[in-house]
Amino acid sequence: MSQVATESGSFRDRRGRIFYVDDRVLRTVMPMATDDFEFVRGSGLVDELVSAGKLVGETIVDAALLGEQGTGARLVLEHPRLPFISYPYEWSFSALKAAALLHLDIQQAALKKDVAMTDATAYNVQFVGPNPVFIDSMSFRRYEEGEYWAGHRQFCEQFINPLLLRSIAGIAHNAWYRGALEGVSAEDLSKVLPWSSRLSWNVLTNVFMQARLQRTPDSSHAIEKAKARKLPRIGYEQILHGLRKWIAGLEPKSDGKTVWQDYATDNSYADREAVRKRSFVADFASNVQPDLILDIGCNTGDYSAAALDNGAKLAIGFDFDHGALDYGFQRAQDESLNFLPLHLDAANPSPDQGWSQAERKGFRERAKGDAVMGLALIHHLAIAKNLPLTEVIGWLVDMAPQGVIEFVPKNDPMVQRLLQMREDLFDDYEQESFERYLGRRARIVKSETVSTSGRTLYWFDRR
Amino acid sequence: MAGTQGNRIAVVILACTVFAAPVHAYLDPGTGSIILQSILAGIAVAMGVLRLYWYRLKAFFSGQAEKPNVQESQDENEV
Repeated sequence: MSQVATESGSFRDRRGRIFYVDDRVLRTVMPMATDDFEFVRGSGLVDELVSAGKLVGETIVDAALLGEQGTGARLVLEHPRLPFISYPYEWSFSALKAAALLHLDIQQAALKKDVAMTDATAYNVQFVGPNPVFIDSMSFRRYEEGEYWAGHRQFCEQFINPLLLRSIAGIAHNAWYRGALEGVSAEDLSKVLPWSSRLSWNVLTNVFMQARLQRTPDSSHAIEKAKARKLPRIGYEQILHGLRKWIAGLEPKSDGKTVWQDYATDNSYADREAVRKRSFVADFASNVQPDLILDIGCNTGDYSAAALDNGAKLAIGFDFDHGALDYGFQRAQDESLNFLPLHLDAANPSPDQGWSQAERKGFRERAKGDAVMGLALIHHLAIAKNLPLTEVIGWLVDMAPQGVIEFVPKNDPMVQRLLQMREDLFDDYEQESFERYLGRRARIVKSETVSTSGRTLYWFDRR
Repeated sequence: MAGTQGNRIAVVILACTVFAAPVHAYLDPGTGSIILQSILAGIAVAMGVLRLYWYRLKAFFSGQAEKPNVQESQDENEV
């Protein structure tokens, strides 16, 4: 019998749970969910969403696969395994917005088939490349005429409010969301947004009014009244339609172009250097053929694109610049690149957190690829963040058996810029130590100097 | 004296329990959200009705049988 592992993030809804058996993803459907399960599948909604790529597929499998864990389950389903799990606090604004729109699209399609959703958590959305996909096929149940949208507040906290934080206040949602896993409450957001934002009907109602209503101490009478009134279906549809139109128009507050975005277009990398780097990455990718390549410090995804064009199947990028992430996400969607850029502060990656510190997994556990790239990266960690060079190399090499790391020497203009305002305490930051540290952990397959300043790419293999 | 103290603590605990805000259970829709939805739905429906009359009025004076586009009238409600 194979080992059955419980997904530690799947405990809220008692109607079913996720398990892993070897590489397979299995889901129990408990007896209390049977009626809804049959009604929803009978409505054709699941087939419609799966074939549109909006919902992860499912097949009924033998309950015996789960052994003891399967006892008591009415059914056991199998879902395809997703190659990478990410969380809303790692998504760019554009990704969170795409996930919000997917959620609303699904709700609108569901309501047409008399199906409602049990919740509106952003953690039920994952990305396949830059495309959002809904992963909780048990979030559906029969719609009852006149019922309220149970997930409205959750939708506000996990989608709308974090988007507004960036859209109106210019604050990226990531740090706040990571600290408060359930998102941003209307009460908190209403204290941050400027008074003038009340002029927007949507902000006024969904943020300020909701916060005010939530505070009302004696609301039991009002709630009884509201409940008794019922929410007519047309009202439900109007709310969903209105939110969709509003969210589709949200954009990050403009704060001018960010430093990194300049890199991708004009920049202090000379064009010839970029061409050499691309061809090095292309050669690496076509040799290694990685299913998953991690691109640490991906900027707008130039080198992920080069890897994908040359045999890599999926690239997950990481960067701390929000502008670059939004640009990269948009580009991946426009160019149909199987690329997802995520937010990462390499000096403080996502931790294990949530219930029992196991609900949401940390970066280290998830960041395991077939290949890794760290281009124009290490000076930001070893110099700007004071991280020991040998540890930075170890951190990157741990992520994948093979990879490409760029060494950026001290005399490079970018490093000089980092050292401009501070003392140079980095004695071992030089090429010879870099090679020695990397050589301790892996074999250097190939190296190539790509710039006049001496930037050098190293292809390593630690197998 | 110890008894009075105990009673006082019990009263405080009771008060906290009674007046505590609703917890985020799976899934508490939230009082604010429910009241807000009823208001939003009420407004949306009222606007729809008003718009219908407005189109009828316009049609009456222009002498044409204009029919409002349902989707369009929905869009205009979300100022």
